[in-house]
Amino acid sequence: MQEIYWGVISGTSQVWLGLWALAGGRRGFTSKAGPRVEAGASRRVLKGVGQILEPLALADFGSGGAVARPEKAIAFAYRLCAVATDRVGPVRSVLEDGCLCLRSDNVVEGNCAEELLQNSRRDVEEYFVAPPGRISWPKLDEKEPLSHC
Amino acid sequence: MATPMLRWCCPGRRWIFAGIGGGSRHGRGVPTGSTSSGKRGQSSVAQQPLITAQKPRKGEREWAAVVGLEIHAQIASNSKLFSGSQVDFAAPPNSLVSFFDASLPGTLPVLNRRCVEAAVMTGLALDCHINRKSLFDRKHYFYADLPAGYQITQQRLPIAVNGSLAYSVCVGQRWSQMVTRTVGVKQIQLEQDSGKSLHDNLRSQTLIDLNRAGVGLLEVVLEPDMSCGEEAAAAIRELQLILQALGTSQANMAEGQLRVDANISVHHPGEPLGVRTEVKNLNSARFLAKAIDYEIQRQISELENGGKILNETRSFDYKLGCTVPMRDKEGKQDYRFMPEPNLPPLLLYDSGSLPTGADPQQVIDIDQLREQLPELPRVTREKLVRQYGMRPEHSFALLNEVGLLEFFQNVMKETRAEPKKVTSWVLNTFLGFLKQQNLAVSESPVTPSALAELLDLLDRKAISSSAAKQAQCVKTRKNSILIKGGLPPHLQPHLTVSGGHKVPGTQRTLTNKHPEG
Repeated sequence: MQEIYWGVISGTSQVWLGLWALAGGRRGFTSKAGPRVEAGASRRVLKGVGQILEPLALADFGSGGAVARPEKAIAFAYRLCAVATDRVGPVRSVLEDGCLCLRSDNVVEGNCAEELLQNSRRDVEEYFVAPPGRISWPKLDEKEPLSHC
Repeated sequence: MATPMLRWCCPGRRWIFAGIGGGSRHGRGVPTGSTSSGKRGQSSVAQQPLITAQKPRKGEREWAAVVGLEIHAQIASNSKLFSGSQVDFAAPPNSLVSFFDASLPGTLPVLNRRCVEAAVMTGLALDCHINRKSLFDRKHYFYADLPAGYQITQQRLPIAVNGSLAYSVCVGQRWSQMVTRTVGVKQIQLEQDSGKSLHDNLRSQTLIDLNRAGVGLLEVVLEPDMSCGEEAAAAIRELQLILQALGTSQANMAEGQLRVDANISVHHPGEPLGVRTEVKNLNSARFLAKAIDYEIQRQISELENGGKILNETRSFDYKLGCTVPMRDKEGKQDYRFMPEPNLPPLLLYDSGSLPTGADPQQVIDIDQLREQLPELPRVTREKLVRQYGMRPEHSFALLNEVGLLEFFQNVMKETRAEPKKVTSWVLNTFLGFLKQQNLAVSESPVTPSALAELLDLLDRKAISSSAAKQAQCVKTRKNSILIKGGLPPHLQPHLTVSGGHKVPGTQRTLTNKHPEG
């Protein structure tokens, strides 16, 4: 499958494109004009994926505008298929030629609990209090911190 | 602290379904007196009240279990993976948190050199291919102890791949038969740890401590080459010893420095693999094997009863001794992986490719790290067997207890007794005595010199073995042992014990049952 330049598309669109390809929305990449995106098909895919993504990404796919934006982004991205990219690797990061600087293993920061806790609406004895909603209450012994996904 | 003992395990074991409850329409159970795997299956589920053993039917098909492990080991470093806040486990809440760890805007990750070295050393010790170029990614999910809403990890191109881990299990009823097995290491990657959530049931709130957020983790992914809980436990034990020998992680499961998740499925041999479940929260060496074996049996009984296995995440309930579905894992998770935009690729070098004139602080040489690798447990055990003619299982036992090997070697330096006698004494009498008193080797009131002297006396037949055993227990306030009662004065040695360890009322006199001289 051809890679698309990710810099153009927001993070959530990666899922759209993957599902789009699975749904058979992919056209050949030899056409100079680029593939045409079927409006009805894309809306069906977006609706289904939106229902999955809403709780995971805390994104709102309920409104018309919320579906229209990724639709436009996908249509735009498919125009890039007109570009021949055989044997050319994708740009995964604009820093790919950059130098990753390493830090020495010394302790140089921290110890600012008071400052950090000022950002929190509620705190209890120097702990942050989590906003309600995402965390379910396990039956296990409460001394064990909950392990997450 | 009791270290897990190597237990008996049958190679390539097959599982026989043990009937669940009286109402099972299949009514199969563990066969009596047949394959060892059957017996093992029975003892491992003996504590489960629901499972009853019944006679098998003819033509019953065997099951094979497939177990893969994902291990998270906290890297032993002074500071965190991408920030300069301290790594420590007993500090006031949120005191070891930098602005980056709290995910405040305007902060950027800066990679800790020590963590990279730890990953490379671990990869080399596990015979992995070290990727000269590796990449960082973001794994997105929302949880209160992950302030950024994503974890920086290495999903696409990790730092090390394709290695192997050799471990040993006992076969047969006696300990004397040990076989070496190998499990493939799929990859090793660097990633961030999350903070800790503490649930306050009383006030229905969750408290968050970010001290652990951002601590460097090594994720070691093992291939699904294992087939039962014992193999998994043995592999984990060996990995623990390797990490401790390298100094890359203290790997103490009780303190949360080593966490294990297991992927488990069952199938009939020759048929495709079954649906797998993930069992999380396996944080106890003692219960690791039990939890895995329980899940295998649960899947077998579910399938035998015509049910289906869901691709779900489960957790091990230590109190009930069974796996339960994790409530907040409903539905499939989509992590929306994307390249970490703030980090360039991590480049590693070897002596042939080192860039000239580069700052040594900024460059990591794999060959140099390879030369500096400390001796691995496997090599240490082989040396013990060669040098002292020791049985392999004894070499395992010596390495299984912290400080015991050093103690043994110090005794050997000072005693004239035979290695076999010393080994036997250290592993049986000495270790038994420590376990009884619930002491670690470092807390032993008997020093290696003292034991060496004692063993010399025993060797010269100056004292009996029972007298020697008692001598080991005697301590005085003046830091010396007097062996009284029956021994001639010239045979009364003064043995020194480690100071400061006062045990009330312990001055005793020996009764010498076999007076000599």
